[in-house]
Amino acid sequence: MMTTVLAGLSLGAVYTLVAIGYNIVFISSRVFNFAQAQFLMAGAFIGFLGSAKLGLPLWAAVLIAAFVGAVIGALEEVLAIRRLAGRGAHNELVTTLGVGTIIAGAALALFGADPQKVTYFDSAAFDFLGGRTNLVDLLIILVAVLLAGIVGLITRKTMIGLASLATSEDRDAGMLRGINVKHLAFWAFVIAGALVAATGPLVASKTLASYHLGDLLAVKAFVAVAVGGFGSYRGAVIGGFVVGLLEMFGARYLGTEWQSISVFVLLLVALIVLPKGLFGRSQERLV
Amino acid sequence: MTNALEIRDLDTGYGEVRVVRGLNLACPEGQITALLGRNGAGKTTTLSAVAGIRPVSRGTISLFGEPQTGSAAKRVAAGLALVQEGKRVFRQRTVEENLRLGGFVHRRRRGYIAEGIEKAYERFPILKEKRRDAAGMLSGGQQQMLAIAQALMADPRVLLLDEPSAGLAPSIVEEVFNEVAELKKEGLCVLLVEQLIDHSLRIADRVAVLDHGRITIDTEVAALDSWDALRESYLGVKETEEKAS
Amino acid sequence: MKKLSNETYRRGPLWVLPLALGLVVMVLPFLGIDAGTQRITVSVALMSMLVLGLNMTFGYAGELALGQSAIYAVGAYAAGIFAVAGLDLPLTFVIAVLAAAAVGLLTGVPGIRLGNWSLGMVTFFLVLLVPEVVNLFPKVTGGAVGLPGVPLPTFLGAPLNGQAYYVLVIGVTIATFVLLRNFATSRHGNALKVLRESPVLARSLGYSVPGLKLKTYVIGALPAGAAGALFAYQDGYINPASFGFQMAVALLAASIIGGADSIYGAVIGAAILTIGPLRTSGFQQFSLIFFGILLVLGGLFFAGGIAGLARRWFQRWFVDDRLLSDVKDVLASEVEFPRIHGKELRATGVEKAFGGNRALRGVDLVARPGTVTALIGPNGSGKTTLLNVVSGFYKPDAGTIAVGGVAVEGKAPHKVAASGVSRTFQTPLIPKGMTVAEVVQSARYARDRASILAAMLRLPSARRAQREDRAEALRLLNIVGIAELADKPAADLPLGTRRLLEVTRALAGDPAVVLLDEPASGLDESDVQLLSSVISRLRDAGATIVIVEHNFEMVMSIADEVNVLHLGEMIAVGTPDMVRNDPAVVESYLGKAAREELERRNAAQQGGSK
Repeated sequence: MMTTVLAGLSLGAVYTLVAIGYNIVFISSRVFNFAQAQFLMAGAFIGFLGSAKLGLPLWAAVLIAAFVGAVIGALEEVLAIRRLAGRGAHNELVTTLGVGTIIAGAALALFGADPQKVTYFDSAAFDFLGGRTNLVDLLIILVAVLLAGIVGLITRKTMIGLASLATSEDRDAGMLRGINVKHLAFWAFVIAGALVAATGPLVASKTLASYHLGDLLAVKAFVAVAVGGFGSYRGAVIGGFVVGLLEMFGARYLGTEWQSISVFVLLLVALIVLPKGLFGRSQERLV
Repeated sequence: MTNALEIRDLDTGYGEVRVVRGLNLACPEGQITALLGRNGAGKTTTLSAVAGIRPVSRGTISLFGEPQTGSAAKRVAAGLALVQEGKRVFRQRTVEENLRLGGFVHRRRRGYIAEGIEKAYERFPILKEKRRDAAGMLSGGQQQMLAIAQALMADPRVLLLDEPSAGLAPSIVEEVFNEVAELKKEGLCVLLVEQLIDHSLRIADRVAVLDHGRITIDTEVAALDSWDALRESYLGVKETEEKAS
Repeated sequence: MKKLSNETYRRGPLWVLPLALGLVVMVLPFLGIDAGTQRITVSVALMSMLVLGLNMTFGYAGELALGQSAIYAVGAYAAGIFAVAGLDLPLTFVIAVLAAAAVGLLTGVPGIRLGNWSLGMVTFFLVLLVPEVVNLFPKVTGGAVGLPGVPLPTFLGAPLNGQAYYVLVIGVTIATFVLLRNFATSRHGNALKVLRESPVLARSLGYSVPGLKLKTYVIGALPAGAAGALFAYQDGYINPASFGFQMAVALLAASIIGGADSIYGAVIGAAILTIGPLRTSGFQQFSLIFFGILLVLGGLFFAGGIAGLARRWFQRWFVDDRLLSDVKDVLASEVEFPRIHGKELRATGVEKAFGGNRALRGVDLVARPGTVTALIGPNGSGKTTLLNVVSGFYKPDAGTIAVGGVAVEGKAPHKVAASGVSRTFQTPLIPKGMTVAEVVQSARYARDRASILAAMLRLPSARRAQREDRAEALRLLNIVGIAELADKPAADLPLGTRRLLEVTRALAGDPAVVLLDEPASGLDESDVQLLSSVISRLRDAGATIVIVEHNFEMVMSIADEVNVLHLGEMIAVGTPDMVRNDPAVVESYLGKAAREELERRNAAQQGGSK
């Protein structure tokens, strides 16, 4: 059973990583970036290149992935989001979905349809706290929790973090206090892109790099924020873990066919029963 | 002497609703100018345009002779601060966080924010008491004071106040207006928008009335002899004024 | 060049063109096109049905319900499974469509409670779940490998060959388009546009928003189910990989390119997204990038898609502005004021608090038929709150509201609207994509129920309802003086005209009480005068009008009774003159000192005249 728990936490940690990206962008610009999960996929392929083709050490792959993620994030904000200036959730869904599709399409065009292995870690299993797990899984959990903690801390304690929290609450009031709202939005996309992409090489060591890695990931990470609350990093961790655990336990005791279905049910329940999520500070624009 | 704030030929509104047309107003340094007018006259729209959160279709806004065309954030850096109506502080942030955010434009100056916060607590001791409370938990009057203190954190030279008395009990209104009167002594130019004549005329040096998007009265308070003109502006022109009862 | 007059263009069926085109396509096999082209045409036809369904929910109703490809899968598997079991085509088709409707309904239910983002994600998730659901019952569905052995379609026992299948698909596609086009141009399509613009507006017009949303999801699901059923027979084999992320994205892109709020645009979009990729060799690799770019560009720029462009081009070059004959008739006839059967509105002891803020503290208000009752007061006095309580958007904490003696307090807004309370809003809510006449007609939707099926089949009952709607709309527009604008797009009109239009809409359906929320705000003098004269005439015709206004000159000229609200309490009620000289009113607007001056002056005058 502990094995299932560890597996669930590790899977959940992946969702948490994407959810952190969702939150960074959402807090600073009130946009839900459907494409966020594809950044992780992009980082995954860079991990593949680094490990299998270019023989780069892990830290180099991570840095390159971060750089690529930052650039794509910047392009996304400038080309696909900025011009929208509040034309409504419809258009944002369409353009962010479009960007995500382009990223996936680029991966398909460049690397083909077959999933690729990322070989930075060997998958030797060992015993830990009564269950079988491996190094990658534990690392992912660690990174997710650390990242959520650090980003959460920065958001709460620094002026920029405070400014983004304030602006997400009241945009006009933020502008009147001298906060450059446009800059905030831009850097949010860049930072979220860099962070999420940077975790790609690590995550892909567990999941393999594949051009459709982002699809279900995007939706399940959304469930994580729906459960944990939009805008809360604590919630991203808890929500991610809840989704991951549910999936793994569902797979073990109901069968793998029930994996995603059980997450779907969780989504429905969360949206209807907990519209703000567990720790949500602001409601997602529901109407 | 250059006016601290000068508005010339202002045309603005929202969508294609032209609320303000050809507005001219000058506010001298170290004085309080009251801008009165009934609801829908365009007072808030005017302040929003001056502060930069509403687009202007015509006209100029100058701060000490410098035209302001940039974003709201740039105008704050240039010394203009707006306290919106409705006590719009960041409710989910604490009192102290709100004050820190007020000083955002000068955040890189060493010790600036800490100093500013100390001054704010001196001016409004109740804020010090509540400094770790979420702003949303404060009473209306306290929120209003926080909003003013927050705006002052940016060290403005021109302060725009939009209906600071709205929804406050009379005694609190007194307090708030006393504070505003003090600001004059520090050399601030204050443009005070209000509906109620009473309090504003007590502390203002100049008074202007906005009616249907235009200024109809613009004079020193001392020179205002009767309030009939004001009343007409608010409640319509009397048809049978001379009806001897 | 002789242009079509508006009259010819409207009356002369424009739909003849697409229908003719459809019929030509249907007989193409007999003119000798090859099997490959037939196959492509079938694919385009099937996809256009899917896009059409998406256009109904996304483009017309504005709901981000994106699960078409999942419902397509449901239709395909339903038909396939039963075909393998030996059932005939008509039966499997019906089963597929019913299954699709059921799934559309079920998965739409969360959409009633959820906002757009959540609905979008939920339906997207559904699409991604198809492979897993298929794997749940591998014996029946064939699992991940796919469902083999779907026999040739049999119609009443006789198997259909390739050509017959083709004719069937095109025929069903044409029929679907006919039905949905009729639906979209009917009062139901109008209602969807209102919903898209603002659910608040929809409720204020008496629509039941949940019911309308559910109907929309089902209507959007039906073509997808039909397409799925036909798809099942295409290859004799169903591959679960055909329904997935890529298809969902392609559908959305097709919808946007063709024009999300158009009918024929669905074909254009489907054609581009089916044929385009196939013509480019090595496309498979770049398909996703292509779709993604289309989505981004579409989201940024494409208002109305290709169909929108075509429409505008056609109107500019081929249609002139002559009025339609019924508009001309109405303009020529005498302006006849209908008798408006206003009822008494009586609010007693209304209380409403938001948290600690008591917005209304025991407010009474009476408005009688044939009078204009004004509600004024300084900022924050609670005027709009009172209006919202009366129209049902807020539930009062205490007090009663009666319309013609019947209690309405606490009822949902659309029920209050159904009791005859109509209102306007501070910012005019005029849906995009509707003409002036259609805007007025939208107020009658909730009052006369006409069935959707009748609308789709253009049965006499539906046509009659539409005719009556339009006749009443034209009459009312004529009264207000804007009848010649009847067939112009409403959303682009100047503010003053849109305000008048809102008032006209509030009148359609013989309202018991009309609530006007700051109708003069932002208008210049001449518009205000026009508005005032319209309101006065409506008062004379018997309407009960309650108006919230800051423009005191206007209030003085048209109000019979003025109620002054201050900090949640009614401080004065009387004629305009009485009220503006009332010391309490003067104090509420101008402050104590002004009041004291007034009282001093009144006392002096009284002293002097003695």
